[in-house]
Amino acid sequence: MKIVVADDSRAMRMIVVRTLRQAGLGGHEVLEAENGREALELVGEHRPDLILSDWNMPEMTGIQFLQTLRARGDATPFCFVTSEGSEEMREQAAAAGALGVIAKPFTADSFSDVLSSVVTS
Amino acid sequence: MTVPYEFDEVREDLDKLLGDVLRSVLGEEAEPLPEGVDGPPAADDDRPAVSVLAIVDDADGTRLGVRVRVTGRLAHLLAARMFATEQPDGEDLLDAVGELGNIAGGNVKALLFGSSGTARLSLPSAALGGAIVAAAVPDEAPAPAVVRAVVLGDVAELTLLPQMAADDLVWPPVVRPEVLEAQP
Repeated sequence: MKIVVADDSRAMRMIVVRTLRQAGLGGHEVLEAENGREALELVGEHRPDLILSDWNMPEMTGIQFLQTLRARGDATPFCFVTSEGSEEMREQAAAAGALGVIAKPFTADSFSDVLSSVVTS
Repeated sequence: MTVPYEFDEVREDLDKLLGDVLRSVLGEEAEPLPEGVDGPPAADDDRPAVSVLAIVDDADGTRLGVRVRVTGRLAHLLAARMFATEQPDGEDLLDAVGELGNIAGGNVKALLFGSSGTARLSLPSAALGGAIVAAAVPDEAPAPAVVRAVVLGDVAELTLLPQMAADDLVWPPVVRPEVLEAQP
């Protein structure tokens, strides 16, 4: 599988990849982007199987990234990994077509719960 | 939505929030410090690290600064664990402390502005040692809320600053997706 991880924090991108591994969902090709715009380009070039994206990012936010993808007819499974996990954001994410929202701080279990249906180990 | 700026009712939530964030990024238990109790002092030559964000509700102009301050030693440990390296450089420290502030800020927003559809969270601005600039808060602003915790023998501090000026911070773009879609 190819997985795009979009987050403006390099540390958080590393933690996301590490947590995937800890959740037993590792071993996949991971492509990293610093914002939604970069991630959008990666998706066009590499056709990933899953996208994990922060919400708040410079250049293009996560929700703008998701809405742009869906407007283009791209249905790649998309999950937010974000420090904001309010009900209002979860509703907005679901309405835009996200698989789910994993709120920071998170655990390997939260990754398994949301992603095990779309990521094979 | 207007945040009341009276934080006594949420002090326990803020203590828990700080502890949860520290535990998640460091993998260590954090002990909350009661109000007025001094924690262990930092080393004389320690250069603290700070991450600052703001939450702004455009509907009514509510502004709340969120500042996370840790010792330089803790910042080093944090970066070392986040990046899985023994020798994190200055950029690693800034990124790690910025992300610590980002997680805290997002959780503060969910706690205090949870039902607001108009509140926005800035991106974190992190600084080390001498580069730290005091947050700009007007004289008439309500008192800040401060919670602290001890983790790995050092103090970490979360401060909420009512009415903090937020113009100098970096904000995520507000652009409609159809505009982005139209771009090449």
